[in-house]
Amino acid sequence: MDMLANLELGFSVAFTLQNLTYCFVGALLGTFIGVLPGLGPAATIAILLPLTYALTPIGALIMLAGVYYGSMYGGSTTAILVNLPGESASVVTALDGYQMARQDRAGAALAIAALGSFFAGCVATLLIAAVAIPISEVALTFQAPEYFSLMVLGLIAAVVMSHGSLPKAIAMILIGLVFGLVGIDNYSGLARMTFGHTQLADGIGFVPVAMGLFGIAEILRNLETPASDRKLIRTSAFKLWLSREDIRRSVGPVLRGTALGSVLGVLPGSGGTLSAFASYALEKRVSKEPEKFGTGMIEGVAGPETANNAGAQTSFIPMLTLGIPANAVMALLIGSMMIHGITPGPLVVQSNPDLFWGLIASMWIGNAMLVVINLPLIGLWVQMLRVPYRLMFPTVLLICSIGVYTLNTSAFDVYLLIIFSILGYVFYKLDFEPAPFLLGFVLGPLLEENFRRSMLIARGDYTVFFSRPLSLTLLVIATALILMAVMPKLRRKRQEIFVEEEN
Amino acid sequence: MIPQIRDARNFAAGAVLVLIGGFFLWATWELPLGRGVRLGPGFMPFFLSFAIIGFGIVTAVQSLSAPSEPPVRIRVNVRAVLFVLLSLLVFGFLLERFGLVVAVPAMLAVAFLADREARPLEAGLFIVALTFAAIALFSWALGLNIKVLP
Repeated sequence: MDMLANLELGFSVAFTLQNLTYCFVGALLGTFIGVLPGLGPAATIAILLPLTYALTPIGALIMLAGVYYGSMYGGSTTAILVNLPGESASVVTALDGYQMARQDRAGAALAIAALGSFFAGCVATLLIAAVAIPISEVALTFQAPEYFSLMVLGLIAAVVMSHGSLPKAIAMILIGLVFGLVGIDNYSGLARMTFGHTQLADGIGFVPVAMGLFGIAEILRNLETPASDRKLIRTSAFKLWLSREDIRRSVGPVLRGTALGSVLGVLPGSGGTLSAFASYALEKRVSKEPEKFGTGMIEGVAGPETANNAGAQTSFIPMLTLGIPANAVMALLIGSMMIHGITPGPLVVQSNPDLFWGLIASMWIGNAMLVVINLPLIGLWVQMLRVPYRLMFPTVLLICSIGVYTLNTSAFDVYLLIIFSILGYVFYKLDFEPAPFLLGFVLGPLLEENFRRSMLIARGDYTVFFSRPLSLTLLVIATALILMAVMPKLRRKRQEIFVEEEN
Repeated sequence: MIPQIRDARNFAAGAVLVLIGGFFLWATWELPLGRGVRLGPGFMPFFLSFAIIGFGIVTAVQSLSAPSEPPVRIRVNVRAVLFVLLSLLVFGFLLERFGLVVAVPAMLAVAFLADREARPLEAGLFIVALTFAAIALFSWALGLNIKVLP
């Protein structure tokens, strides 16, 4: 079938020594930084973006994707060993995983997390391969009005699914859109909001924004609380071994987690986190001993870990096929693609098939690498935890500043970094979510272009977005989502899901 | 009766939104809006700014009538924020004039000041080590075009 031929192409691209190295480095760096508390996947990717500048587009994407699931793996490791989830998706893993570790079963927890994630990765890869072409074919019938409505839907869906106040999230999108419009306008040649700085002619650099909002702002956030003492598990007696019983009990959770994660991951706004939480809830409900959850049930690790990996991988689907980022990480990857001159969207499958399929294949390879290489290295990662944060954060600051400077060999970018760090901190303090901002920032220029082009085609008729059936459908769905989020009953549901997350 | 600002954080949030919207409105005021067929460069920024200001007003007004819980205060670790940002500024300022050799230690020294729990000797050693590592990695190993010496 076509799918196999495409996967073959993908693997031939991904299996070059160069790309394998990028995959490896990405997964390694991602795990390393994922293990470190205080740096989530988005911050990690933002910080490592300059590193990928010099690489080929496919190399850069492979590495960043590697960083993404590497950091999720690292986050699970700290959740299990130290009860410090590295990022939000690992919060659930810590519940039973840490208890297992205290019962000397850390090895089993880590092993099932890795194996479950690998299984999910395999399934997700096949899913993406199967679904990509049909979706892109539908999307190719899109014209400017449909693209516009699709982006509107994507943005709205992303905030509806995320937590926090809805009006504030929408405001963030709008602010992001405006910031994205800075630069010289393509249609008229006039400079917008550049205040005379030629460095802003091409728009505000994506990397300073990403780093400032996610990297530096996260450091500022971490510096607010004094370093807490962490109780490390003795790593000397490590047996990465799963008993027959463990395996038997994990089969169900892994299968259910994969299914759940694959479906939920596609929805904008989530990725791994929602899938992990949903899986934990499901396992608890399905289990014969629900009251034991929280005391070291392996189902409580197997399910969520599998689900979050499935969700993380399938969240690539909207990004790769439609060019719509489902969450901040995808927005960062889209930004990276744009930096390399690739406009994300349905055309990517056709115009850059080697990029598309190579990336998908390398995601599978990365998952395999994580199991084979990282499990033995766990002891090393845990040692990393001993590095105190007071030495960590100046290092990260240095990496960020040099990284940002080397983009254009210009101190101007460092100043931009400062501005967006301030902005990121202000957002955090005032309870604004930075992810919608980034989504708006990345999609801003595209949104405007499609809007203008639609108006051009329709000769100034605003109803063009509603008269075309596909565009109308998308906008109706977007409106429905907003209404659902605003209605009191579902408002409570939303808060329920995300209050759990806060805890 | 003057409504009490029960939710200081949301009020500030609304105010910031109004400020940002206002800023962009001012920055793009002279850009042509264009007509239906040919939308000018000022069109989107104009409407977006208004929308942002609108959301800002709504948020601020909402904060005035928030249910009476303990007032939400904004706490800021001024020292940390100030010195972290200052360290970046120092870096940007010194790098092109004096090279990595000066900019990196200066920046790291300022950064360490952000941490109340920093130990001088440890910090000093770390700065020296990290400066060397940075030069070795970025300039020698990776060959990046970055000034090392003044």
